[in-house]
Amino acid sequence: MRVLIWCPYVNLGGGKRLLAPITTALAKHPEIEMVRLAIPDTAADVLPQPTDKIEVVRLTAAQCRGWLDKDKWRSQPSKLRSIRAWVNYQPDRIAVRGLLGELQKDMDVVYIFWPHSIPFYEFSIPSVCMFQDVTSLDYPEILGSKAVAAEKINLGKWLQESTMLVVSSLNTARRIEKHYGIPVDRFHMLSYHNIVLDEVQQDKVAGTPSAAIAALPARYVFYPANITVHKNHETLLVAWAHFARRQELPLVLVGEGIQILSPENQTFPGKHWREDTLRGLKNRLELVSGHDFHAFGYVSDSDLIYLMNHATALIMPTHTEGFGLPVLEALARGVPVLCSDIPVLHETLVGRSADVLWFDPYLPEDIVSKVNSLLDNTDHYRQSAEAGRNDPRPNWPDTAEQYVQVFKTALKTQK
Amino acid sequence: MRLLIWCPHVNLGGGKRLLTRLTGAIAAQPTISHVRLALPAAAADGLSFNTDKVEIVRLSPAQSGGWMAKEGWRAESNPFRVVRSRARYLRYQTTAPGLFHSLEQDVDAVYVFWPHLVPFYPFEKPIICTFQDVTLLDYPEILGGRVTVLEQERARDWLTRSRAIIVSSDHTTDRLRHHSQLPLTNLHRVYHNILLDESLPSDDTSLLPDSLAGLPPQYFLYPANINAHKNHENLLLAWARFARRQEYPLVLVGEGVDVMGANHSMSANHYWRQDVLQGLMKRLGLVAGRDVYTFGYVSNADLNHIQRRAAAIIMPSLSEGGGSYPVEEALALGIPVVCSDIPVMSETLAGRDNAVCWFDPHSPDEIVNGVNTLLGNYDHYKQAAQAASKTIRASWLDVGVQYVQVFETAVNKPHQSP
Repeated sequence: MRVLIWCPYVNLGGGKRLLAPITTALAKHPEIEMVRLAIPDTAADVLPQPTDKIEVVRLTAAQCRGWLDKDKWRSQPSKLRSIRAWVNYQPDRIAVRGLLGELQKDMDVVYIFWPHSIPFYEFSIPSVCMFQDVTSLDYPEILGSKAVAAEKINLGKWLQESTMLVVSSLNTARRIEKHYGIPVDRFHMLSYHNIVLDEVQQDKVAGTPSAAIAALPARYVFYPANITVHKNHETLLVAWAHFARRQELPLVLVGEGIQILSPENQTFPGKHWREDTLRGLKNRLELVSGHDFHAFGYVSDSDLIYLMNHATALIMPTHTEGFGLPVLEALARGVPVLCSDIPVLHETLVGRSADVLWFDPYLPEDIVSKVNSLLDNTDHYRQSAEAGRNDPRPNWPDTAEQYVQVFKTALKTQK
Repeated sequence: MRLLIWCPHVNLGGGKRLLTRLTGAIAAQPTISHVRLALPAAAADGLSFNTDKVEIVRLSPAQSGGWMAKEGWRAESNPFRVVRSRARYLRYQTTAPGLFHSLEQDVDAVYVFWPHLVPFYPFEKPIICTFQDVTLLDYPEILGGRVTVLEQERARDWLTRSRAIIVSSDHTTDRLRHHSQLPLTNLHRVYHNILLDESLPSDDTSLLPDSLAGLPPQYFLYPANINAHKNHENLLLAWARFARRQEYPLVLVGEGVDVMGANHSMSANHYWRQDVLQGLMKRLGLVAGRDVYTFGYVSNADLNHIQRRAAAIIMPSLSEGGGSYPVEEALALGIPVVCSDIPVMSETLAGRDNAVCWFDPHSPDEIVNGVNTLLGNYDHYKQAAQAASKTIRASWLDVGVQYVQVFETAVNKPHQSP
């Protein structure tokens, strides 16, 4: 079987890190003859190790442009801007159509890894579309309501036209049902249960961290997340301001955008309301960078792995996730987990033996209470997480097998 | 003393009402011989004072809107907008300063009522200004980062070049010192957390107007716009957890709350706060017209109807300047209050704090606990609110006395940079 992975847009966080191991695992599957991975040139640093079964097509910026450009005209404040946006997109549209025709010519199935924010294209071969989450529809403030309206139409087309629909959690299927009325049983569950993103990149674990990260205190609570609203840095910061032992156990925050809380970014005005919101909150709460928290922005994989390995605990105060990989990564390394008591994270952690400290992500006092429980019983939670590393869990070949079965079903369905 | 009250920017709701009361109170003082009130023409409509000591000067949009044009270009990233913004400011520069200069010729002092968003203007006469609050600096997401940086610069100019600064709470003093890093020895605190309308209408039994026909029989009322510090998020989260929400729905009034109503289309949104609140309503499954009722911006008469019928006023705000007028009005009417336990509210309700049921506004559960405590002890809080309504409060004339004392001190004292 020859598989085209069409991925003209991939986000900087988990999405980007997920792509390489999936591609590698698929290429190793005996029934897969070849994987052609089309990704943005700018994401080339996540490319899997080249093998004769993987062909990488690097997409130019024009070829990658998504509905943000395609549908930009819908959300413009003036007619002139609408027309300009529409005209600007036309050359890209034509270029991508021609390219897709070529890319799918000798392929059996196309896997759309991340349909969010990319325009719908009709493929002549069976298509399998993975819905990682519907956060952008649940939280209209992320894209803005006009762009959300366009995204809803766009995702609707992928939902309607794809041969197979795949989700990584039941929670995502339920949210899609809520937005589109498509019953949950139409979705095939293809979960990443209990896998670790970086198993195939163990060499990075041994890498030397950057100087700033190596200088961190020995004990800290780690939260890797960008600053989109559902990541809920607000309640976490309010909780930390109420947490008496915060200097003993500061927060370490990494992820796109969170560097705005660091002292060197203090004077530059925020370009986005999320930056302004978090910076204003940090100032009002009088949380001190370097004492109460450390914020680094987006970090390299090796830094990320180092931070995860050395954390006293991982905290995950998120309001919603498509799946929530960081909690699995932490447990795989024997790092205790404090996390939001939300349905999707229960799905993610099903069958894990480690004691997890669940909290209500809307209540700062509950977060503080659970962090105090962790401090009072550090040995217990550390031992429990360590013991949980031996939990039976599927590996990447098992995951690849799941994918192949879905691709086969898609092929049969199409015929 | 002859006084120029310079007010090129004022909001048409509470700001205008406050300006009206204060101007009347200042003009009523025997040592004040004349008050020249310069304000935007739109705000001057319908304004009248029962004294001939007040002269109203209407500022044209070019004269009053100058602050936006003056520095607006600095917050723009689009070159076309920068040019347009600069052109507007040139127009302002050619018309406004000459007028402002002539306005201050025969006065002894200039009182700047609302320096927020207003660039410093170098009047020759002693300047006294009021910092009503520092919300715009505390919550940069309201104006956006770029404009907030400008606002910080403007505030610093007013603070360093005014002869006296008036604030309406110690909390505002603390926040001003925090932001400016200045000792601010010329600060004067004058509380004015009293009723904006000293004679609240007493037509309790009058029929509801048609516009309020959908008002539920009993409810908690929150009158506030949808700015970030008003904290509608935690209030909605709390209401989603509040078991008796259908028995006691929320009634929301104020600019922008319509986005939480049933008939509001998301395509009409133009501001991220609208998206935030609409998204949250949907995720929480709160039903407009059942759990939450919205009436948008309402007239004073309508607000009075809504207040009087409320089981209680709820005030989950994270920040206020000099207290809350809705809370003052509720207590004057003997309506129970459930309120954020934030420093400024404790300060301005000192002596009446037992009439209020307090909660931590950052915790939805604490808000629900506060509401349940109030409902569980309703008679107690009702009686306490009624007792508070009989507390003798300062009048606007008392406030006027204190303001004029500050003006006189400032005029007679040489300026010292803080």
